[in-house]
Amino acid sequence: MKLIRSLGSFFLYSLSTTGRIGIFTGVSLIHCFSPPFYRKVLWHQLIEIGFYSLPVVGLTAIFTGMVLALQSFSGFGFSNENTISNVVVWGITRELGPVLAGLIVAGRIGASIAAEIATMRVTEQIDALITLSTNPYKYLIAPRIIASVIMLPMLVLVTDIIGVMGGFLVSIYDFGFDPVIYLRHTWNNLEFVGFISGIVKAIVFGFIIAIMGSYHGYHATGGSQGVGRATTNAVVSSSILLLLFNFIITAAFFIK
Amino acid sequence: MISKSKLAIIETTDLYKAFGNNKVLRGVNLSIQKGESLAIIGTSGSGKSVLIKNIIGLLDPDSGAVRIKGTNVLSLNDKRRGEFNRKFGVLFQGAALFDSLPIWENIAFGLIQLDGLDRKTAYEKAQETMLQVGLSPEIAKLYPGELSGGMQKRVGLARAITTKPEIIFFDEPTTGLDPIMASIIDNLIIKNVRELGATALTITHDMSSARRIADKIAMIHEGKIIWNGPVNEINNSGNSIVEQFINGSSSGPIDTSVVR
Ligand SMILES: Nc1ncnc2c1ncn2[C@@H]1O[C@H](COP(=O)(O)OP(=O)(O)OP(=O)(O)O)[C@@H](O)[C@H]1O
Ligand SMILES: [Mg+2]
Repeated sequence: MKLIRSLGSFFLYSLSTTGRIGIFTGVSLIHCFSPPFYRKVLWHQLIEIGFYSLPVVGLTAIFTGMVLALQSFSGFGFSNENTISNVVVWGITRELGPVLAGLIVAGRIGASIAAEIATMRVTEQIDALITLSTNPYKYLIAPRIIASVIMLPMLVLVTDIIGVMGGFLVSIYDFGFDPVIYLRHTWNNLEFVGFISGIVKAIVFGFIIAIMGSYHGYHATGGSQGVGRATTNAVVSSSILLLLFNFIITAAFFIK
Repeated sequence: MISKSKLAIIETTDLYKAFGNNKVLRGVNLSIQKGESLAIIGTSGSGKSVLIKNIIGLLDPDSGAVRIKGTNVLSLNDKRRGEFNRKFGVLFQGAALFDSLPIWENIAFGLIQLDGLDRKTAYEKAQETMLQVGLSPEIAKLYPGELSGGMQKRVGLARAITTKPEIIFFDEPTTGLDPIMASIIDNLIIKNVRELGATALTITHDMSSARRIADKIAMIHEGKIIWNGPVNEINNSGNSIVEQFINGSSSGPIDTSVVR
């Protein structure tokens, strides 16, 4: 009986949270498309989210590409330019590129969006914005969503290129493959749908990360503890949602 | 005590606000005339900040009305309410400066975002305002985190007055400052409010500050205004709660055993 009751209340709680996030998303989206637009803030966020994520995303990409080549060479006994480049290109563009870049950006950007907005909430900076007739959705949230949705595909593109290059380096220097043949096979194995599915994932992930960061930050309560809680919740929820949507998008693209 | 003949610039009627079981405002009736400076006193946690937030629209009361220049702002949509907000300047209890922006942009925020001034003109105006509140223009490019509490209050004050508001709200402008800095801030408030010809509503715990700043004083206790009148009458209020508060004694009608 107790179990049923707690299950029930958990279910209701999840339902109402989903509803609140849904409403928050709707309101945020309206403000993304209606003036005034804060171009300076948007520019700042583009740099923050895109440019400053490059080093960590690049490092992740190169090691992932390298390890993918190593694993398929030693583990599966695949051993020519065609098979290795195929595994690397497929793995990176379809899955590892978007998912790893997404998770890393969720940790980096999702956390900082949540912490920044939550701090503004608990120190009454959001109240101050409102009294200065500035809509916090437009000034704080919309630029972050737009920047994140624009920059994540860029980062995934970079991840794709660097990841494939990582596989290339290992294949050339460790396995002694012919660089020209390897590159030709890489190009032939690159399939358009796979690449596009990765970019679509990136757009959705960028949206999820910015929304979850903003939502948890905006609704933070209770001092510095609240800021910490908002940050954790933002990272955890965006990571899980990201993996869920990764599955859904993959299914939508490749299951007939 | 306040004549009903003149139209009040701010008027609250039967304002109620509760957070769960915590009934903070239980029927607040307050009215402020144009050009007046009113200080609201009351113990910590008595709902002074909540009252201000209900007036400026950061919180919505459970019931009652808030009239600004005769218009019940609670019935307005967000956009029209936003237009009323343009008449307001607010100094928050914790200053609430935007810590991602330099000092001058904090001060010029309203000028840039509301009045659409270009950044160069706004920068110059911000520097003028900084001089008015006794801040050296050299700190214009510093960030709020690099300033002392007293300087942050001055920046907050500057931000509240740059857009030349008609009504200014000060939430504990002198709390946490040394007595000299407190009287400097008080004088800045008096001077700037007078220069703007603005109406001022100041929250304070500090009786000497209240006496300096205000024409009238209102005391909030247990969710209601229990006394209000001109400053020079507060010593003879004939109200034991007010007397205990202004004498700062720990025994009296105010229940000090629990802090809400
Ligand atoms: N957003 C909120 N959610 C829940 N409770 C709140 C909220 N804001 C204020 N309260 C409660 O309302 C009561 C009054 O708070 P308020 O901040 O108005 O006090 P105050 O009179 O300004 O006190 P102080 O002089 O210490 O600033 C407190 O009990 C506080 O816990
Ligand atoms: Mg307060």
